[in-house]
Amino acid sequence: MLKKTLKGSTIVEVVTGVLLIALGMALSIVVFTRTMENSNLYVKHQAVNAVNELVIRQEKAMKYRPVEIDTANMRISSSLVSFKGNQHLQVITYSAVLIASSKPIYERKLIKRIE
Amino acid sequence: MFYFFRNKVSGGALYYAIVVLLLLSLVSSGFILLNRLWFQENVLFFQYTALNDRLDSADEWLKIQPGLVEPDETKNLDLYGDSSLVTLEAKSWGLLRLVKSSARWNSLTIQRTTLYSALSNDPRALYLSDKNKFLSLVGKCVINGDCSLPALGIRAGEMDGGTFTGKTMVDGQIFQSEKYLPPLSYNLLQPWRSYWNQQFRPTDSIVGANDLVRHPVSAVSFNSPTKVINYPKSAVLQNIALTGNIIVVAKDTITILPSAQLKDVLVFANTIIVSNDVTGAFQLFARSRLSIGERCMLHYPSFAVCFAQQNTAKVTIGKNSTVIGGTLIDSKTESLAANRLEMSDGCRLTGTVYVNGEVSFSGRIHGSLYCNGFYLETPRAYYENFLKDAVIDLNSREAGFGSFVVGDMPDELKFVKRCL
Repeated sequence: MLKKTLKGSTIVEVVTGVLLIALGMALSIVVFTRTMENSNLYVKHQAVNAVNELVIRQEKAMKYRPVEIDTANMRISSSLVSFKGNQHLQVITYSAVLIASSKPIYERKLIKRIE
Repeated sequence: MFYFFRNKVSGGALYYAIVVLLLLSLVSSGFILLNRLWFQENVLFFQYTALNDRLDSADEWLKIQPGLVEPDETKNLDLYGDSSLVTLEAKSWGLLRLVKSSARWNSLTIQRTTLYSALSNDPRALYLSDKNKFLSLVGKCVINGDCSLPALGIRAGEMDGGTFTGKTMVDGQIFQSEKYLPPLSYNLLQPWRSYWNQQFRPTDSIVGANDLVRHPVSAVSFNSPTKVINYPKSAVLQNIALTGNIIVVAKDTITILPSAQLKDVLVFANTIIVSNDVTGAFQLFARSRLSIGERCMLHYPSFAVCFAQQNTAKVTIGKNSTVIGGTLIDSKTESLAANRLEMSDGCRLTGTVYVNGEVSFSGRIHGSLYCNGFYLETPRAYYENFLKDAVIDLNSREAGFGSFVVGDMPDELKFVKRCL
């Protein structure tokens, strides 16, 4: 019965099939690699949480000052620069940098009033 | 060669290949979708935070530099010189300033509407213009803050056998005042003067008193056109709740009863009468007379304004009533003494109180008082520039209390509330 229905394929069909499979696999590998690369999103999320925590802490205390905090793999810091020469306003840059590669991961800039 | 291609390979390799390919396609599309979702979610989250930070920063800048965007101005601010733009559009809302700020990234736009009040760094509790009269204190008077007083100065007065019994006459520095009060900014009331004549802005949405029954108005967003409820003659506001971007105008008299709930609303009329026991937060603009009844509680930000064009202005505050925001009485007439503020026992005014006229003082002022004189009537006599048991305390209001300022430009803006 099988012999009757599946008579076999031409070599062209087989080659086409193999090529399609290879193409599909290549695409999967590319996408998978990219997704894996983007797993530094996890690191980025860590950075976001750490930076936001620092922002909230300083806002709650109403005390804005330069800070450097080292975590397991990154350095969270805040720096102050005068805003357009205004003595009461400071631009506070909060940033997270990977310690190993010095690669910046996340940054927030806020203008705050500082007496 | 031809023979080779015609030769068939036994088995269903193609069908297997198709099935495997389908599976691989499914997996690949899953990855692509996941990647796309993660990317979108993250970009949106990061950009949303960045845009919010930009708006917060622009707010801080505007608060400390009120001249940055003045009413009826729109400006694009580049905060850090890297094209991180914030658009600020300002207009006045009564004696407050309404600022719409927006920031965008691609198709993502964040917008806010905020009300600000004006803040003055002037530590003055009392400015009494120099009409060549002493200021006499009787009873337990408290004046806490700097004072600008007539050249003749301040003294303990005597009234009905009593004299000054307080600790110090003025707890602050004393300066000499000028003959006239420092003028108000022309722009303070300018945008609103036409409303008394029932001339509205082209952008206003006018609702007649008759239409109000068919199309009731309750809450209007500050992001939509201002709704003006126009009464041709007089109106009684009762059993009505109005919130937001609404102006109530009547040619003659508006009476507000306790059943009316007004919030952020502006009220314009020739005469405004606020009945006893009314509560709310609104701004009143009368042209000849403004009367606030007993036990009224006008929460922050409320303003009582009486600005007379030809006649005189008079404001009466009933017993145990409170106005938190500011009080302003002025007129174009030269007989400024005819402008009056009558305060009753137990009443409390918080914020700037500017009376280009005379004050019958009773109760307390938590803020700054500017006036040309005081008067006090007893069954036996009429006393000029006498204060009895008066409390003018600049420091008992909360720190950084925002009201309106006397002069051209506020020193700072104070956040009042975020509007819908």
